[in-house]
Amino acid sequence: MNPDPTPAVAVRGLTVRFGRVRALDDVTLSVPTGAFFALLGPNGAGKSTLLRCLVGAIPVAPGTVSLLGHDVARLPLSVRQRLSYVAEGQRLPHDLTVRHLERYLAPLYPSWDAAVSARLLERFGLPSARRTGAMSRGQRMLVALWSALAARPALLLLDEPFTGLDVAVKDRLVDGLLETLAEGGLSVLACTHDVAEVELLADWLGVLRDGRVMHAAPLERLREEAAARLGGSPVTLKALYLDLTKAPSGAETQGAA
Amino acid sequence: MNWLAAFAHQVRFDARRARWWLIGSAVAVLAVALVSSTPSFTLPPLVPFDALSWVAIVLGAAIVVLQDTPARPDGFLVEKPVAASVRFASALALALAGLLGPAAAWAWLRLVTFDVPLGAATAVTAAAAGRATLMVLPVMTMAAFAESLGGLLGRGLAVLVAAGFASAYLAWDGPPLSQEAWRAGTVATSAMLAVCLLYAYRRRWPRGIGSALAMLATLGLVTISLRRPRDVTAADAAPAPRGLSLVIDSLAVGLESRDATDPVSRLGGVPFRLWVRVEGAPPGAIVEVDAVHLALERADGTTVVPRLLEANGLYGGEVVGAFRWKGIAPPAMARTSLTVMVRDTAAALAVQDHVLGRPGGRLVRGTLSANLRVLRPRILTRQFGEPGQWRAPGERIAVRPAEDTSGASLVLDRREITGWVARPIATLDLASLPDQPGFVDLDNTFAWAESADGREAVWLTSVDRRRDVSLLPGLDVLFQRRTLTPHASSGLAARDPWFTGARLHVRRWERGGTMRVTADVSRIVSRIVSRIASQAQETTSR
Repeated sequence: MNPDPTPAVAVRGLTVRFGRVRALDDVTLSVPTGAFFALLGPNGAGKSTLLRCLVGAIPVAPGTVSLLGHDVARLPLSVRQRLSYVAEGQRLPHDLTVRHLERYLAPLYPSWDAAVSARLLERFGLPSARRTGAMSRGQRMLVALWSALAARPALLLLDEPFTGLDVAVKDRLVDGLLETLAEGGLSVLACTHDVAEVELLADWLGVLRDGRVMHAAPLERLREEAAARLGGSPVTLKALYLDLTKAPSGAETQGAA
Repeated sequence: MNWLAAFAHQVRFDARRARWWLIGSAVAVLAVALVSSTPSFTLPPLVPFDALSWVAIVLGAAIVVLQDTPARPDGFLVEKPVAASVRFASALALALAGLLGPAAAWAWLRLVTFDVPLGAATAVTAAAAGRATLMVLPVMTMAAFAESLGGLLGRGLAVLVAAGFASAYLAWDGPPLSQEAWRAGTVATSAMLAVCLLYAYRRRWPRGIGSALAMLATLGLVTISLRRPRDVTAADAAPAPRGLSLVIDSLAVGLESRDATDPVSRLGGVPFRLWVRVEGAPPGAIVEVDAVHLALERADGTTVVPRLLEANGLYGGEVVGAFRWKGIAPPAMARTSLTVMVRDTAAALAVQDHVLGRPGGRLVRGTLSANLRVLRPRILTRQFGEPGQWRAPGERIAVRPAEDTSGASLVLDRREITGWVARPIATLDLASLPDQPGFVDLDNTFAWAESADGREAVWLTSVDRRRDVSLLPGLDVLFQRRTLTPHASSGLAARDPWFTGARLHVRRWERGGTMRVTADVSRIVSRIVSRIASQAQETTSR
């Protein structure tokens, strides 16, 4: 089966400035359809800014961004219905329960899957009658991911989904993602610096540093290149990441896209 | 989902999120309304209920937006497939219906209980709600550009300070602001704010020029609100234009007795109505006509000041009134009342001083305009009823003011704490409501009670005045409540059994203009001249 030639995310020449600070500097990036693209980078690299540009929360100029083949500046509702985004420390209506949220969200998404919703709630162990404000930080992140996945999106944008979570919650999060990915049809762009979880999920890897994309390529290819550089032994993602972040920049390795 | 379904869906969601604010606001409005409208309630001077309702409404409107402000890139709704127009309309509808709604509903109810026709009550309430929206809109817009309540308060404070400076500067050395300019500015800045609010929801990261425009529009609206428009244009602030004159088109004063069974005497509030037109006055000008003195001239030529009580003459209550109209260019009607007791008087002449206060009396560029004129027309009244015999003091007299209409009465309600409490009756329309004395300055001098058998009546006087809380910002109507008590001359106590089953009569205003009777200025002047001439001739003959 030929992969969809239209990338799920296509960023070209994107630059974002906050005053004198260049948060993003001529970023060009492509997330193939069906891929789990992990964008790694240190704090302040510009990962969150990039995702906010993708959801239209920050104006895109100069540069172009398209999601699912549509310019993000004029994203029709029908495309936004196929898009989910979980921000870092995602804010939730604190006095509403999961049940209330589902009652609100389900009609917004034609692809909302009640069965998936129920299954994820069970897997995540979320109490559907408890207010989100009374939940722990980890539970709230699970609620955010539940609401994102139950909509059966074509594209999922995740911003530091694993930060500050305990091991058990991370496991449940990864399991939920793996389960949904296995069903196919989902592209993911996850910005994070938690390499352990990403290693289980990602098949594409990008590195963002100082607002610039240093590397972006299939994970296996990057591993092979790194292994060759490091003497042929297998390379863990952590080692790969450390190797990539100290390597000289400018190597646009997106070629496979 | 189509747009309407999406709107309803969003309103349900937003209302659920803000439900405690909405419920709290409604409960507060209801509690204050119920407490303030009880007869025993006296408005504590140090508790600004009106201001509290403003704060509750404004804060609530801010919360409605801030609960998912578009300024936060991590908001719950940031990427949700909800049209910007839907979120905008939902927030606006919630603020207006959920926060202003209860206050407006209460105001409407109060108007209706004051016998205001349903159409007029609805129109007045809607107009007041519209004015309140002018306060809510800037708050919502600024909230849409703020990430938190603290940020909003900071911006609000900055705007208020800036608006204060701007307003002070403009008042000192700014161009005159006419009514039209004020209205246009208000509409323009409000529209700009609405556009900014919609823009904030569309962009979802409303910074930069949008934020600056919103602040500017808010600053403009607040500044305009702080400035009162001048009553006249600059040209009118100059020395008085020639040809300005007070024209009294018609006048109707007097009791018109048709009661054949009791032609003896009359005591009552006599409606005194005149049409006033100031020729050459600019549209929108405010002209004040003060009745500063009133006298009656009897047929024999003697003059009686109606404040005095004379055994065979005239009794006057509070007759001096002041009237103020906006837009004097078309004829406007002045009303006052004259309480008279007539005996052996076939005709009377009311002499009334009218001070025509030109609007230039306000400070204009630091200079007091001297456009003040005093016109002293003498106004011939209509003829009174048949001459009759004076009754003994203390005797109860049936009172039939000329304007009394059957059925315009309420059964007195006995209150243990405050004595007799009555609600005034008024017939209103939208144009007359702001000046309607039934709400603002009801003079209960002309309230009286009629005994159960309809044979006797006593005057009631107002011994206390309490103000009900309006609650709806922008509503200019103050609900006055009175505690009525029998006039001292009646010899009755407030709880006298005589009042059992008695009916309250309150003078009923009616729109005038149908009684075209006598004088205009030229005629008055000619009368004055002829009188002076006759007196001079008399003096000369002596």
